[in-house]
Amino acid sequence: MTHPTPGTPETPSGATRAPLAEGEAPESTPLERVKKAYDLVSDVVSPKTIGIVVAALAIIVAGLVGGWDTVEAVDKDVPTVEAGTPLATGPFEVTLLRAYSTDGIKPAIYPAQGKRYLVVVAAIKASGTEPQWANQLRDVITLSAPGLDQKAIQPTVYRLSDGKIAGQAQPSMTTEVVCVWEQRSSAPIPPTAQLRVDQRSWRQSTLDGSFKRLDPDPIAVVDLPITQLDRP
Amino acid sequence: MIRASRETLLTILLIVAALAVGNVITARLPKADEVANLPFVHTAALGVPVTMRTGTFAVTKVDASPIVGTQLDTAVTGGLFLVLTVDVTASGEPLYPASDDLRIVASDGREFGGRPPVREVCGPAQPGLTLTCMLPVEITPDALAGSRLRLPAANRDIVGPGESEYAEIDLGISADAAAELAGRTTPILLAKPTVKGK
Repeated sequence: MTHPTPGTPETPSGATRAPLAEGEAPESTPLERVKKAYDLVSDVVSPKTIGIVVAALAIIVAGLVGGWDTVEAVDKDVPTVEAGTPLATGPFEVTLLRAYSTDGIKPAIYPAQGKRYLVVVAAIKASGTEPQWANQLRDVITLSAPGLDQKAIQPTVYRLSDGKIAGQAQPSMTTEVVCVWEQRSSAPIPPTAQLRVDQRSWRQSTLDGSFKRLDPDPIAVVDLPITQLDRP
Repeated sequence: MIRASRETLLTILLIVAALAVGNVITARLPKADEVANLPFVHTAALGVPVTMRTGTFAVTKVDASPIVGTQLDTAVTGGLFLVLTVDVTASGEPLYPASDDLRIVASDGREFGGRPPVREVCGPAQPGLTLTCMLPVEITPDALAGSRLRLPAANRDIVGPGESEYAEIDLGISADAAAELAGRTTPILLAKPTVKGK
């Protein structure tokens, strides 16, 4: 190994170079060159400005790769299935059968001023070996239609066999139920009821430690043609 | 180099063996939590009274129909309503039997129950007076044979653990009896709770 002679500067790579001549400026490092370049614009480009530009770029890039798409756009990837297809939602197996619009169906649904009802008939069968509350159907079926009552955006669920509020669905037993949404009568009746069906997982909540059906995951979209029922 | 004597080696082996045996024993012994959480089960048969801390209960009759009703209401099912006639005698204070929490447990482990679409509220049963109630449970006919009633001693609180004391009552439904029950079509009128002997 050769050692540089005294007074001969050594470069970072270990190579030696000639001593500086009189008046010659020492060669600057890359960091010093960057600092020198920044000094030229430092009165305009402050660290705050750089932070804002980086944040703006991050937002733009996120938008370009689809990060700002609406939920509806994501839903386009959910498969559309035929009416009558059984769908495993977690608490139940749900089969959406048919849809109606009506001003009321006594004795369960009474006519009301300025309201009509969009009705979906479904068959449910509790998963597992224990009864499941039928009103969990509210959390796994979403109807897209104009003029829905935003205060009652989830349906009320009745038993088709007797018109009672659906209580508990029993295991291995198919129960036909009626899901009812309220719609303003000034809104048009859609030709089809577009229903999104979600699957939910039974897991412990990280907030309060209780077990719940959480994490809705869209698994299917079902389009049911709407038939208008006669007035009650 | 340190040389271990024969006694030292033997001592080490004995300690390791004792730890291993202790570990096996500890693993096989029930844990305190497991024992504390074990349900307290009373078994009985149709017609036989069973006493729990809240009172004495007896299933005296089993009936079935796809249609049950009260004076005001009617419910219809695509399956079957199994209607149990139950005698309830409260032990120390007025008692509502846990009619929404009871379960019919099929021989294959399926459980049926929950609040029925129609019912006559059973209770309060007063201490010393036997109250007779009719409790409907929606069920599939294929679950009838060999089924049992699981009746908790008390209604479940909104919060807290479930009831750990319950009666497990064999309803005595044979395969033939199940077929006969499944074929019944006469609507059942749920009688209002009545005090026995009055």
